[in-house]
Amino acid sequence: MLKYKTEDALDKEDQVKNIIKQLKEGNSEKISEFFNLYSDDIYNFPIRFYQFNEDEAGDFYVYAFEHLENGKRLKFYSEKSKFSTWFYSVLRNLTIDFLRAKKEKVKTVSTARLDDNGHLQEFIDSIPDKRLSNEEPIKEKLFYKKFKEKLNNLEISKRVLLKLAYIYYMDLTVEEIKWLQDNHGANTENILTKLIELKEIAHEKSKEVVFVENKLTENFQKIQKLQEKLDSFFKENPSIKPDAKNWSADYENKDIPPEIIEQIHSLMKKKKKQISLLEQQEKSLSSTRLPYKNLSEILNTSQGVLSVQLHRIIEKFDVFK
Amino acid sequence: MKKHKNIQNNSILKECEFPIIKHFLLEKSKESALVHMSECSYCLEKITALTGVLKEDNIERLLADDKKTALSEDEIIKLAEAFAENPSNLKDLHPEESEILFSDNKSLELFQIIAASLQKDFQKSLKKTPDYLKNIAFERLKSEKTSSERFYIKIKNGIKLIGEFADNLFVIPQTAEAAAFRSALPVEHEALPSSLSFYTKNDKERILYHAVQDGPNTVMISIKIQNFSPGLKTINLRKEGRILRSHSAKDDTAYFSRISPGLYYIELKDAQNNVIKDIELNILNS
Repeated sequence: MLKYKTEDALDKEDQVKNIIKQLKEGNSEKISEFFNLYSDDIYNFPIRFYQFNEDEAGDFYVYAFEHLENGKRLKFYSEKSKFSTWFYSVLRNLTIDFLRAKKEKVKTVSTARLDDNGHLQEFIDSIPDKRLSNEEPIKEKLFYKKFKEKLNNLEISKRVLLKLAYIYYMDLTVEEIKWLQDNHGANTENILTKLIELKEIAHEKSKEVVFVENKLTENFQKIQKLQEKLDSFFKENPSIKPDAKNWSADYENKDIPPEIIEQIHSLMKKKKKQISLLEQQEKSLSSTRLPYKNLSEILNTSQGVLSVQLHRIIEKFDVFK
Repeated sequence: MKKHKNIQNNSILKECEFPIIKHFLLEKSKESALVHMSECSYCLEKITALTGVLKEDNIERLLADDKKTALSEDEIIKLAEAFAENPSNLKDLHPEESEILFSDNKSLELFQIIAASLQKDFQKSLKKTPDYLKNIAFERLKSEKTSSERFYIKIKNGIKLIGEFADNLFVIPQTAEAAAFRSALPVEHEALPSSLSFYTKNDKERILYHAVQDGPNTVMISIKIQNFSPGLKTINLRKEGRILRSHSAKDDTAYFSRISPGLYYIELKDAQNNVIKDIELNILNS
C-alpha cells in the first residue's frame, strides 16, 4: 500500500494557497516565495518522470521559470484540487512545450571567423543542417525506429517482462496493463499501485547511473580529444612511428617529443580511469533493472524462471544489429 | 575490423562485431563486456546509445501527437487524489471515469505522475535545486530592469549556454576555426568546451556573440552587430547601473574581456544617447 502525505506537505499546501491568493490580489512580489517553495519540484520533475539529465533539467528550470515568473499561469489555479497535483499537470504541459520548442527549432550550420586573440572578425551566414531533415534521418533516429519495431514485435508477455524490468525507462500501455490483469489475476488498482512503487524503486536505483554516466562522458570526451591530437601529430610527422601497442602511463621514447609523450601518458591514464568508471557504470546500470524479487511479485512467477526468460529476450534484442 | 561511422557523432571509429549489448546486460558475461568496452570505443558508444534510445522512447510517447487526454486534467487529478486516499476509491467512487482512464494511454500517464507525486516520501526524495539555477530566478525577480533579450552563460566545468530555447536564438556548432582562442584554463580542463558562439535574430537585425573562457573564473564576450540602423554609436557594458566599459560601434564590434560572474547589461546606444537595445547577460560560476 502506498503511503501518502505528511504534515510538512500539508504545511506547504497551505503556504502556497496563501501565496496564490495574494498573487491574485495583485501582490506580485509573492512570486519569489512561490519559487522558494517550488524550485525543487520544478527542477526534479523532468528528471523524475522523463529521465532528463541535470543539464537538461537546468535548461527546463530556466524555461519553466520564464513561463511562470509573471504569475499569470498560477492565477488559473481554482482550488478544485490540491495545488501540488494541479501544478504537476502544469509542469507536464511545460515539459511538452519545452521539448517541442527544442525539437522544432531550426538547426543551422554556420561558422564564425576569429582573429588570433579570439575576437570576432566575420560571421558566415547559417544554413539549415541537412542531417536533421526528414530525407536523411540521423543515426539515433534509425536506432530508435529499430528499437520500436523490435519492441512492438515482441509477444506481449515478453514485452511486458522487458518493460517491467526496465520500467525506469519504459511505461506500460493500457493494453499491457489489461494483459497483466487478465493473466496474473490482479485488479487494475493493485497493478497501478505496484507500478508506482516499482518506478520509485527504479528511480532510487537510477541516481548513481546519472552520476557515473556524466563522469564517463566527460572522460570519454577527453580521451577522444587526446586521441585526435596524437593522430594528427603522427599524421603530420610520418617519419616518427607511433608505437601505440607499447603505450602506457610511463611510456618513454626518445624519438617522440616530450610534449607528445606527456599527451600519451595522459591518454593512457584516462583510459585506465575509463575502466574504473565502466566498472561503476556496470554496477549502476544493472541496478536500473528491477530486482527479480519485485518482478516476481507482480508477475506471480518464480525469480529463476523470470531470470531465464529475460536473458532470452535480451539475447535477441540487439537494436544495433 | 573495418572503419565505420561513429554512432553518436560522425567521427570515424572501427566497427566491431562483438555482441556487446547481450554481454553487457547478462550477468554471466558482464566482466568480458567491460574489458572489451575499455578497449573498444565503438562498443562503448553502443551502450551509451542504448541508454539514449530508451530515454527517447519516453520523450516520443510524451510528444506522440496532439491528441488531448480522453479525460480532462481536472478529472485525472480528481481520480489520482481519490486513488491516493484509497486505491479502491478509483472504481467505487468514479466508475465511469476510471473506465475511460484505463483505456487511454495519455490519461493514464498523467494519472501515474500525479499519483506518484502524492506518495509520502516523494518530497523528501527530491534533489536540491543547484544554487546557480536558484540564483538565476531570484536575481531576475529582484531586478527591476526588463530586457528584450537574456542570456545565461555558465563557466564551471566548461562553458555552457543555459536555456538556448528562445525562438530567436541560434547556437553555432563548434568548429575547428573556433578553437583559435587564448585560454588560461588548466590542462585538465582542456577537453571541456571553452568557447561558444550564438546569435539572435530579429527581422534583418542580428547580433552574434562569441564567449570564450579567458581565465578560470572569467569570460570574454565578443559581439558583432549586423544590419542595424546606421545610427548605432556605442556599445556599453553595465553592472549595477554603472558603465564598466564602453566601445565605439564604428566597426560594429565590441570585446569585453575578463568578465567575472554576475549580472550585466549590454546596451546599444545611438548618437542621441537613446538605448536601441538592452541585453541582459548573466555569467554564472557554480
